[in-house]
Amino acid sequence: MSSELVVDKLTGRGTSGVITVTLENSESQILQQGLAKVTANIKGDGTSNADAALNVSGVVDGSAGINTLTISNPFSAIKSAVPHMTNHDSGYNRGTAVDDASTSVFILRIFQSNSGSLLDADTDHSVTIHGDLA
Amino acid sequence: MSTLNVDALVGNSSANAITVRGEGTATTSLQQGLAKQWVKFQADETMLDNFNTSSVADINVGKFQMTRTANLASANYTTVLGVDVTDGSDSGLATAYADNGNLTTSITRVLYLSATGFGAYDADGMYTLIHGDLA
Amino acid sequence: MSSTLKVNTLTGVSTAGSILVTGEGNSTTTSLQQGLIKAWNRLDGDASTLTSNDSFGFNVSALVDGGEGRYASTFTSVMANAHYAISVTGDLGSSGRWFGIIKGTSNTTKINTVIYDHNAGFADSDPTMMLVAGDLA
Repeated sequence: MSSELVVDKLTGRGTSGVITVTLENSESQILQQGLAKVTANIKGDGTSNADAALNVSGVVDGSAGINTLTISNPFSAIKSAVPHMTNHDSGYNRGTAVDDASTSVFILRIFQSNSGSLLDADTDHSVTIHGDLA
Repeated sequence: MSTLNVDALVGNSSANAITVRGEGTATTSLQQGLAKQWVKFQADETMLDNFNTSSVADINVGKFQMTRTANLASANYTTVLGVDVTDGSDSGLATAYADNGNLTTSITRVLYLSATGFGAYDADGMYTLIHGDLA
Repeated sequence: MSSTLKVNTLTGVSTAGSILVTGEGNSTTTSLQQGLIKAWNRLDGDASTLTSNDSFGFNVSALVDGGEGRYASTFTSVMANAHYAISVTGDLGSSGRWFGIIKGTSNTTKINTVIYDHNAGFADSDPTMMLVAGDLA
């Protein structure tokens, strides 16, 4: 018979932010470090889809090819987050780039693949961010 | 030091919501932070390793479609992709896109473009990582 | 009143490395261990000496600069096989960048990332990010 724990919140006992999880092949890792801290599915019109949003405060549609993503709970230090971004495009001609302006603000760029020029292509894009929360 | 031996975790107030204390003082969502699917595959539809991926189909040059074992709740999930490139060879350069016209609760289609010539391209190794809500 | 469990380690009962979590739909379950990312790292490829932000990220013990646009990250805890899922991305630079890993050179102990510009030449990038999902050894 399998066991089930019904609980609202998990907190490390020795250190609040450290819970070790036994993994496949009997390895272990820190639970918190393996979790994505931000996920966002951003539409071409510069809005964030609520279904896919984790820790998203808002998205602002900027100049051509640029969106600014702001998160609710910031990361522990500037340039410590690990953001990933992929474009949703059936046209075979876009690239993406992401960088952080602060612990809670990320600049998302879409560019033309054969020129490197920023382009407002009305394409959706996914963002996943890992790292340590503050 | 305490160890909990358990097979399953379920939220108490809401079955689908367990909060985890983060590295600092903020909390984050356990369920939402977990990837719900990942796969490494080849152009011949072989999955070299995967989580929650039942199959990969070769749709056309540079177009592949992954089918999930457990579906997502909506088409609004995040998809990040990776690709093998061949060091020093122009013919091996590639980049990847999620096909916006073919993202559903059960399948995700991805596209690969050669970075030289910008045509559809079967990359040597392809990777997908998905976060989102399970159905 | 909500409940809080304070614990150091979670281990499966039936199988040590297998714990299920009820998903957002309140019925389907997902694997805790398989859903966890096993390594991530953020590099500054523009620096004269290749550096990693945040003390080598997570499960990365060392960096090797393989030349312009080519960076290797060594895992602290090795992977079970070379068939893990990866994502590599970064910043635009002056004219766009393509990110990936070098075929055949990444293995259970390290991952070799590569970056090209839109003219298909090697190019450095700050930042360069990598993410790994799969099984640890």
